[in-house]
Amino acid sequence: MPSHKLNYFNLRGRGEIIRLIFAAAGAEFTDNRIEFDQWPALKADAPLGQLPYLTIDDSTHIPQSMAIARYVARETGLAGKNNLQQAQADAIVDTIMEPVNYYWSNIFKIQDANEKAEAFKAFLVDQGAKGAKNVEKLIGLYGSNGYSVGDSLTWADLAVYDVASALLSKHPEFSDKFPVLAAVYKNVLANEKLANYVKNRPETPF
Amino acid sequence: MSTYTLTYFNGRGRGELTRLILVSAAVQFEDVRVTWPDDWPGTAQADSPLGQLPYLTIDGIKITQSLAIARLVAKRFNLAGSDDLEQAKTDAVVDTITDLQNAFYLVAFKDEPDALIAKFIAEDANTHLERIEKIVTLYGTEGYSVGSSLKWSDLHLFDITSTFLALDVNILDKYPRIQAVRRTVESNDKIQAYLKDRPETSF
Repeated sequence: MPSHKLNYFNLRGRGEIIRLIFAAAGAEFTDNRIEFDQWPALKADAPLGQLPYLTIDDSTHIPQSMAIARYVARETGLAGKNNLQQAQADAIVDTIMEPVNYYWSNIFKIQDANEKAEAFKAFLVDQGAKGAKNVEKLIGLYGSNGYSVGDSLTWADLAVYDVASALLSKHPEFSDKFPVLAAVYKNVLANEKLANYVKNRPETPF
Repeated sequence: MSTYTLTYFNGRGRGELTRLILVSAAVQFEDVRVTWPDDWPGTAQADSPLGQLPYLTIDGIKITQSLAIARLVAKRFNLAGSDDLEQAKTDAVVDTITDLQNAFYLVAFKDEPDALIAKFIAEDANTHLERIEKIVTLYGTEGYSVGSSLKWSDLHLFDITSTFLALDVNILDKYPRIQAVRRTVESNDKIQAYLKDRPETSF
């Protein structure tokens, strides 16, 4: 397998899904965490001036978090067993990303702390809940037994875990409202390598 | 052989990319165009997995999410890239184009969009177009966004930039590689025939 280096901020954000895939697969990679004060000098190295990007064999650079995640999932056998399962995993991840992207575009940027908290509360009840219900629907159509797609671990499960873990730490009642997602979350944590990675990863605000 | 049915509104929007992929691969498919208010919401929405369009029905299985659908048919018909790495590059180009599409849709479907669209064209569109030009220069060759053969990223580039050309005929003047990819797609026989006959729609 080629050598892989993930270049991202020292945050979970749009990079963590990639780290989770490497971790669950037990695959080697260099986790290049860039601090904010280093970033301006390094911006020119990034293909589109944005993070994350993946460096393959010190020569090829791939931007776009989802393209990277899908590539790493395929390389490590976590994308889905055939084209159809891969499409189902893609569909679930895209459905998760709808409210997540809404959050990044509309809520995250709010400066005033009170305004942000209010907007986030409204978001959880509206786009967040709708998105969660939609993901549960697709898991019902495509998955089984705590797996989002088919009957084995895919990156779709890790994407559910990534978003759910951010939420559950602040809103544990979420797991009662969304039992299908909670089942996937629990199943992911049963993966030893992943549980180990999560236990040891740096604590970051998001 | 599989049967394919694409269900989407009677418009380009988020459905046209899959149509272009199937057309360029000369694949027979049922092109179900849902109209509102006759079909939608009603039974058409009830039939869709998440109450949204598009969805693709393959041998009875419904797949949602426009890019998941497009990627699936691109892979099946050799328009996704020859190995994992080429597919990752193609995905990265597609995502960069989709960033532009999504940013545009945030303003284009509002109630009184004209001023917002004008502002978008003047201020935001170029940031995205510069990135697209950059990434197709990085991964592609003259006339192709990735490698040197037609990919679904070329079709997506053609589809999305067509909307902007209609709003400002000069908007691609600074982007020669984008223009070259458009020429490749436009000169494809099957695409030409399809474009000649496709319905004229407002989006």
